[in-house]
Amino acid sequence: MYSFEYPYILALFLLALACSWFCQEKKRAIYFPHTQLLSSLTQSSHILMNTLRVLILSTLIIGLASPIKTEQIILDNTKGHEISLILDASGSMASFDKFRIVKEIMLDFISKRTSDKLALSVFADFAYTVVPLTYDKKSVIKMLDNIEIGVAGRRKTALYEALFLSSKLFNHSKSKERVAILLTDGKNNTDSVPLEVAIERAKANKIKVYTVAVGDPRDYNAEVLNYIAKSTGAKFFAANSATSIQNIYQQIDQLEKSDININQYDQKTYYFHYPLSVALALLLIYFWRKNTWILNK
Amino acid sequence: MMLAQEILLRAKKQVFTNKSAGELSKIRGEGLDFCEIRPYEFGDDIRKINFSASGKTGELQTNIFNENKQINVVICIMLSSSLHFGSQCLKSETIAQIIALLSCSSIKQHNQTQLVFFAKNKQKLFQLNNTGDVLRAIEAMLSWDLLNTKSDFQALNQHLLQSKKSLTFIVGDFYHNDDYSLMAHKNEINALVVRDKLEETPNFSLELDLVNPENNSTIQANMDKRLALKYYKKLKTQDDQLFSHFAKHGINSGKLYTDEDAFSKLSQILRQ
Repeated sequence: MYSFEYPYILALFLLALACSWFCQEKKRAIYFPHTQLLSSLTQSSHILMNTLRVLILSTLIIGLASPIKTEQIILDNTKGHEISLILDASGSMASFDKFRIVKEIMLDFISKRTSDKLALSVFADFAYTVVPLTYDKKSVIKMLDNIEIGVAGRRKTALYEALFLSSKLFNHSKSKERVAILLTDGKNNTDSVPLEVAIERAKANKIKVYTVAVGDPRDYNAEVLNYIAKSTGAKFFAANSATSIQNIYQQIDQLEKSDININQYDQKTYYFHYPLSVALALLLIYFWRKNTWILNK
Repeated sequence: MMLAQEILLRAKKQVFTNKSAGELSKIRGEGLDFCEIRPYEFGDDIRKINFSASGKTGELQTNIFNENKQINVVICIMLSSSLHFGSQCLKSETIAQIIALLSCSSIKQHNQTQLVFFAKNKQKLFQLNNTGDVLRAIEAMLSWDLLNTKSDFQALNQHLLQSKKSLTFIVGDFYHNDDYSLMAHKNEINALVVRDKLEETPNFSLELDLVNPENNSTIQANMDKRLALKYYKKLKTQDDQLFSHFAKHGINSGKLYTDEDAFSKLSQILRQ
């Protein structure tokens, strides 16, 4: 983020403005005939010199205010959370525009997780990992934005496979806080991975699996989802409106707050030399224009 | 600053010790100095008909003479605030010297001499019959409050059109592009442009506030060599237009700088 290290220095602009009116340079004055002709010749030079003065002063004040770019650097990654987002992309998610609503809520959730590693998996006929655990939030957001219903088939719901696959992402994890958020609107109807195997894998990798069911309660198996959540030490949520889904993600966000303050610092990149260099260059041009002994050679 | 007395004494010395031939006017009129023969026109004096020439050509011819009787000399000073400038001496002082020289010269030749100062809403007329009158005219010139004074070309034009045909000297710095054709048609005009070299090439090598003496408005300018050159070129273009206008209408003209000897420069200009 760009800002000024000493923003109060910018108040000098007001002082300079007042000075340009009240503290004008007193020059020697003489009577000169036919100033009309002379003024037509000096007009462009006058404008140039005044512009140079304003630019020099502005760049100097900006340089003094020290423009900086601040970036947050996290020293200890193990203090942050590692979150795997598992999203149902089966055909049933198209009804009532659920998929779009869920995507928007998830995008908002991702933007709030400033110091966490994130992963994204989708499932339908089969499960696959879209983005493995990464700090590159921009990539996660971009990929999530591009996912459409049908990318992993339309007819089935490989829920357990998705949980298993997602749990494998944490195999080499160093973080103490490992979370998976599994969102679905249906029941598992594939037999690629048994439920117990998937839960065991999640437990082995110490992953808290929050399960979120959306839509009609008759469509999903609340017991199974609750079982998954309870077994891994997390919670089960059910929602049938956009607001309630939003609330669920907010709750998860609050439950899994990262303690990052002690592990990060602001890295400042200073840019004062750029306006100062410009000021110096303009100053040279100004003196070259003004210094009559050069021009009078 | 030179005193009026000093200016007059110098002018008298230069004029009265100069042995020049009696000046003849180029104005055509009553006189003995034969000029030309031309066909008779309605209104010409029938006593001037040259019968010998008429007999040869078969149509009436009349003699034309240059006027060599006492002529009217009018010295017109175009006063303006821009005359309050000078590096060696003020332009107004140079004009005072010109007044002294022209007046003394005219009085020496027993001409009817008139001096008129033209300024906006103010005119002053002097009949110069002797050196005492010349001294008073010089004093008036030197003591004129030039600041905030504007030149009045209309008054000059009107005066010259209404008065008798005369040998006229118009003195000023001619910064305005006025039309002198009407007055030149009636009078024999000499335009004397008084300038200072520093005002034409204002290389002060300083950043200055330049005050217009006419209205006290100020402009800021870095008066370096480059600007001086640009100003000179533009002024020269204006002056070239002015002198070509003079030439077109038969006006004898010349430029006289404040650092030059007024007498010799005047002689040079008027000999043209």
